[in-house]
Formats: sequence, structure tokens, C-alpha cells
Amino acid sequence: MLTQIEFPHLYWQLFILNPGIVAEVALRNAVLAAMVVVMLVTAARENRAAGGLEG
Amino acid sequence: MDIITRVETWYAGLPEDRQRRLVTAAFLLLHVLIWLVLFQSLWFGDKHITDTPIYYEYAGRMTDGMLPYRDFASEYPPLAMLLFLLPRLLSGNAYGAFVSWFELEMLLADLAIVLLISLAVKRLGDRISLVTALGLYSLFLVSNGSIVQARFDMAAAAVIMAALTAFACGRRLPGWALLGLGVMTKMVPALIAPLFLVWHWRRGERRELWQGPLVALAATAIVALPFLVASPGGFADTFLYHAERPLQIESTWASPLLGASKLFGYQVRILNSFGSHNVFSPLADVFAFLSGPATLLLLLVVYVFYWRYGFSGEAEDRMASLFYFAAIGIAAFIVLGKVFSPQFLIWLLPLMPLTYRRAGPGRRRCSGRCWC
Repeated sequence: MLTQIEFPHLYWQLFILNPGIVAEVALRNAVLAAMVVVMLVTAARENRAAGGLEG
Repeated sequence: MDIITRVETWYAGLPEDRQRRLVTAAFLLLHVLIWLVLFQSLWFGDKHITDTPIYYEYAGRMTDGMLPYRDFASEYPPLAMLLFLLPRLLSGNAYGAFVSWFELEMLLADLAIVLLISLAVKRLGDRISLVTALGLYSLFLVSNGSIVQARFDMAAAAVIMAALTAFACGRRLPGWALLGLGVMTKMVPALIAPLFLVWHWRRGERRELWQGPLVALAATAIVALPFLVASPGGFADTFLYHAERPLQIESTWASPLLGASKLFGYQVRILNSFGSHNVFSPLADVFAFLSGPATLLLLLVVYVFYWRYGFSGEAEDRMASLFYFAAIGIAAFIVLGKVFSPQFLIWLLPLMPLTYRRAGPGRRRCSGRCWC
């Protein structure tokens, strides 16, 4: 959703370094990075709650 | 009894398999309407930045008898070139018709993903309902916008989903074969291979541990061999091209540089090269260099986490973990890569609805991809 706000309508605003769009793209990237971390932590926590290493 | 209650009673009385087929058919129809109606209207109709002229150009060279990689350079692998050639064969020289045929091709990839999600959900047991999974996929698709029509990444997403679904359904070697073909469409399916290897290792499938990669290599070789023989250097350039790209303007690494240029006057130059707008400065060169090792390191963490935490619970939990860690691996690759084109998020679309994690009896959590 954050990507669609920027692309394609406001892409050229990023090209000319419009501060609002630069911040919006940075936020999009930060959210995706946070998602990776949260998913990894969730996997580890749920595994511990389920009784640890199995298989 | 009003009509809604009647429909509910009729639906509840159907066998489970028929319910599944009915829901899948309804979503197939919905997706046809999304592509043919919604993506042509409102803000979705804005397609002024598109790659289809490049696809059209490459396809034209092929219909003129030129061989990719030998007679002209291309940054796309052979099966992607085939995806460009087919619409051109059907449309002739008419660019408008080419775009329509290409969009139809991507619609078919989208419909294949709907069918694959339906199949995967069946295998995942009661972890997520089919309506929720397909509803979320549809929502993510619309959230991504009509870019899904104008890039061939939908086909790459379909191949990734097909390889994972085949593998999760017990068809291990066909899963590997699809992975090999996927790499010949776009490099990104290669990120799944270590997950398959970890699966074989942890499940004690020693024979598949070497058979699987061999099958994937054979599938890759069947597609690549004619081009490798015709022009080894030209074919290798297809893959080296991506390694040599500079820091793209939308990448995670570029964001602090662009922020610093606005806040502190840090000098950056934005130039067009390698088919994208890129950031140039001394720090941009350092970041571009660091992005490779950093991505590899994060991917390694993802694979180690999968080895440690992906195999607890029942068979359905292990299958769900495969989709879950595939999504993390691809997201990690996107977030630390030196290029973050908007179409990269398409690779995640079919996986995210399947990343629901059981947070306790009867409770499930969403990973939150809808905001990215």
C-alpha cells in the first residue's frame, strides 16, 4: 500500500527529492525491515512456546 | 426464510471439496474482474511508467530472427524472454495488442496463483480458511496496484508458489524442477533452494538432498544450454548485469542518503543507468558494496532460523513454516538489496496470506505485510 502511494503517481517527486516522498519511501523500507525482524522473532517465540527444537 | 439464509444453508450442506471449488471459482471470477475492470479505472489506470516497451522491443528482435544474448544483450533470463515473445507472436507489430496479450499472460499467472493458494490451504489443514487466504491475496494484489499487469514478476511469483506448493504436497523433485525453471524466469526463486535443502536434512531425506539440486540443475540446463552454447559470455552477462547495478533510488540503503541530502545538505547525484534511477556519492558506493554481504548474512540468519524453528509441531505446521520462511527470505532479499523496484513486492503476494501463525488455540496473527 505504501508502495502504491509512491509508484507510479509520485515517482518523479522522489526523483526530484521531494522531502515528503523521500520520507514515505523510507517509511515503506523501515516497515518491511521491521516485518522481517518481527517474523523471525515470532518464529523463535512460537517454537519455544511449542516445546523447542523438534523434527 | 430470506435469500441470504437460504444460500447459507445450501452452502453449509455442500461437501467440503465442493465448497472449496466454489470459493476458488468465485475468487477466479473476482480476479478476472479486478484485472479487466478495476485495473483499467480510477488511479489504477495510470501506467505511464511501464517496462512493456522494453519487452516489446526484445520480442521484436527475436521475431526478426535474432538470438538473445548472442545477437543482442538482455538482462532477462530465457523464460522471461519467452514470456515477451509469445504476446509478440500473437500481436504482430501492434504495440497496443502486444500489451493486451502480455496483460492476459500475467492474468493467467495470477489465476494460477489463486488455484495454488487453494491447493496449499487444503494441505495446511485448519491453519487458515480458504476465504481468508484468497481474500487477503486479493487485497494485497489490489494494494500493489496495476503494476502487476505491466511487469513479468507475476509469472515469477507463480513459479515460486508452484515450486513451494509442489514441495509441500510431497512432490519434492517436481518442486525442485520448478525451482530450476523459476531461476530461468527470474533469479529470485534461487532463494528458496536452501529452505528445501534444510527440509531434506531435518527430515532425514538423504537421497533427495542430492537428487533435488540435481533435478533443479537439469531443469535449468535444459533451458540455458542452447544459449550457453551460442554465447557463453553473453549469457553470463545477463546475471552479472544485476551484480553490477548501482544503488537504486528506492532501496533501503538509498533512503538515509536521500534523507541526509535534504536534512544536512549531503551531496548526492541521481542519474539514470541500468534501466533505473540510481544514487551516486562516495557513501553510495560503500553502501552498494555492503549490500551484497549484508543480504547474504541476513539470508543466512533466515536459513538458520528455519533449521532451528521451522520443524516443530505437526506436519501442517512444518508445511506452513516452509511458506513462512520463504516469505521472510524473499523479504530479506528485497529489504537489503541495492535495488528495490516496486514490482519486487509482487514476489511476496502469494506467500503472505499463508504466513498466518497460530498464536494459540483458535487464534491467528497476521504478519502485517499489507502496509509495505
